[in-house]
Amino acid sequence: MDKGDPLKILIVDDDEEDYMIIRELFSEIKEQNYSLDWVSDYDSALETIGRNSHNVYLFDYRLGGRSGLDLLRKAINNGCKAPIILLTGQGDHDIDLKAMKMGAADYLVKGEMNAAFLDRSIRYALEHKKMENKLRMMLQDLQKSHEEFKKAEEVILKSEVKYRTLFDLSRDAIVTLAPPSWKFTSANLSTVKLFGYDSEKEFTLKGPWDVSPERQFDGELSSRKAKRMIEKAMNEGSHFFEWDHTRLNGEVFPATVLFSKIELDGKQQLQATVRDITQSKRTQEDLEQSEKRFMDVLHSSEDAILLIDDETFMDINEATARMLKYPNREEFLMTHSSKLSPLHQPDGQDSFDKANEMMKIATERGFHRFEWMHRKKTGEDFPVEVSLTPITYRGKTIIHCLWRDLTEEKKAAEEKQQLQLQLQQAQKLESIGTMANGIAHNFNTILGSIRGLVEMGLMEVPPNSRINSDLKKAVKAIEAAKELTGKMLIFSRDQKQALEPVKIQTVVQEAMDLFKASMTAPVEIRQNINMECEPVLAAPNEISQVVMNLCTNAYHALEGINGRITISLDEVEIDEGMARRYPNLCMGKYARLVICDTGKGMNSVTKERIFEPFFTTKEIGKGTGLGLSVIHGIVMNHHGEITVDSQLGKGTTVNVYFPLADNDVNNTKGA
Amino acid sequence: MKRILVIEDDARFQGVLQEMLGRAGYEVLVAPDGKVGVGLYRDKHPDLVITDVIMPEKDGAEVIFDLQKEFPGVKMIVMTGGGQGDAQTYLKSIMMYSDVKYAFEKPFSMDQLFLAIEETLG
Repeated sequence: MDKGDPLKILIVDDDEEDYMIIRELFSEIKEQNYSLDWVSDYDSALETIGRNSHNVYLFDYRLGGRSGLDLLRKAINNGCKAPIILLTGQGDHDIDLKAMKMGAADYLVKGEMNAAFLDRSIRYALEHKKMENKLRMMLQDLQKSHEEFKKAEEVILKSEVKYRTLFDLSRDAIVTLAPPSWKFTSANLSTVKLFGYDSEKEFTLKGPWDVSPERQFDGELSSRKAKRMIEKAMNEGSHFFEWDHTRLNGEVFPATVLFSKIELDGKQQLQATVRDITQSKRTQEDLEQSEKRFMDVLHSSEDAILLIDDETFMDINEATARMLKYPNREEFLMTHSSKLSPLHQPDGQDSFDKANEMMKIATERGFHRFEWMHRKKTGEDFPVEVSLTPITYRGKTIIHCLWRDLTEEKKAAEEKQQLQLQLQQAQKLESIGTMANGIAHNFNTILGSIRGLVEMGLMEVPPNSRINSDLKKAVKAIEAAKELTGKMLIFSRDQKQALEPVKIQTVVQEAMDLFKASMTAPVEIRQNINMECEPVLAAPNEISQVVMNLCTNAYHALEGINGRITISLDEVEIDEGMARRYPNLCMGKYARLVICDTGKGMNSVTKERIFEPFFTTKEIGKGTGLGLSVIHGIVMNHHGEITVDSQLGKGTTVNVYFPLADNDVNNTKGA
Repeated sequence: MKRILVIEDDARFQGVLQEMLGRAGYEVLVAPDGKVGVGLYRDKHPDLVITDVIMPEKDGAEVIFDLQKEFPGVKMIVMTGGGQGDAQTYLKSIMMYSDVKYAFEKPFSMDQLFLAIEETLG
């Protein structure tokens, strides 16, 4: 301490003499300068202390009515930081102890004091106070760092909670495993949920092999493989692999596992992320299956299907190669596309340009259908309906192309048109015929009257008279008129035709087409016509009439029934038994026409009479009852036979036999 | 006197036949259609029936088959003005399935008719 810097001392003593003695003692101290102040009463003392301008206080124990202890208590309560030394009388040992307990720095017994003693006490008191302050500061520092530590601890706790929450909230199942047992040491909520457990505790009792089937998908024991995987992860820092896991309920599911080596609590452990890939695996399987199905459909389709990628054929099916008469897909795929179409389309556009335009339209609109002329390997051009649909295949947009051969359709449309024309013509002829019939009938009757009258007149006149000659000419004119009406009837009359070798399959086919066109309500019709049938000596018109008539009957038998008509034509050999049963048949080769319906059929009484003329089961006006008798006549004219099988409610089958042209029956029976 | 029933819907031709047959000395009954004709036959039992084919109510074919059924041995001659499809085939069919021997297509000759009548009546 610097000597030139005096210590300020306040002396509180109600006895001035005592003060003087103390001042004397201070002046004896050489090592230190002191500046002394003196107050004599309690109140002034408190006031002065409150100013806090002294380094040390000396209180006398006796302060009039108050004691130095009172002052000491009050001063310390008021926050006095400077050391206070109490001055007591001899033998006040209790007071000394009290003073020290209350916070006095020291006590000095009046009368036993000397300068050195006083100096030392003051210095000790100051030193003590300094130490005390230092200690207090250290304590404060300690408290402060304790608070900081607590704060830091809170932060750590908070972040731990945060990480735990993150851990638990993760949608991936995350677990940790630790050696040496490699059982699970922690597991997040997702894990517990994924494996079907109730709590983390329950789960962490297990090891990886406990939550797996006995063997993995590759047949290896789960326990052995798990150890291998762990080892690999520990050696390489991480390891990713597929794994079959088992839920608590025994259900096995495919998963991926990512092992990462981590250090936790100073120990090398593994963290594992388990991801259930059932869905993605299923999706992948579905995708593979769907692609396989797509390829199966492509290759098994009877329609021509092509996949076009950037204007080149990526793939085609066999049907495509077949349609264009290429021996196989490979040869088709190697053929330049310019060879698959004529140079120009029917509208005159360049095939290459138009093809690009069509693809562009398909891409823009999502679908495009149009007609196209293609060229077969044989060089023949044919119409095709093309449907283009852009599809996504393996993440790429390609064009799915479907070809439908329109050749038959176009031909059928033309034929239908032809048939309609024929039908129209036939209907026209029929109406003309009906009209001619009516006129001819009335005309002939009028002519009949005239002839009757003229001939009666002839009987009244002399044979060689002019009237006789005139009336005879009138009869001639009437005969001419009759001839004319006869000619008018040619329209509708079946002129007797000479029999000639005829391929009746063609006639039957034409008659069928005509019949089908005349049906007002469609019924199912099956045809089984042997196109190789040998010719028959026949009148084509009459054969046609037979077919039409029998089909019409079959059609009427189907009225109100959802039935079927089957027409077949084939060659048969008539044996002895058949020839005996049907006198009109001889042994040998015949063409057999069969018209079979699943209609209402007929009873045996009706069946017996159907060929009788004028026999009809139809309403008045619906049939003349002559149809089957005319048919019968025709068949007889052709040296054939007609037989009928019928069951009421089941249907009717009519068999018509015509001898083949080279059958001897034609010669023996004669025309 | 032989009695002949003429069934004919055309009044004019019916009249001509009536006159013609009357002049030839036959007693003539006439009917405008098959139904009346069959009724008249039942009442008067004529010796011969000459019938048209195409007629209202009951046509000639029906008349022929009905009468033949009811009165076996009935004598009949058929005549037609043609029309309704194939007249020849039709007449031929009728003749094939009945006892009718003579069929005439209008306008036919009076002489031929008388020959047929005499032949039929015997």
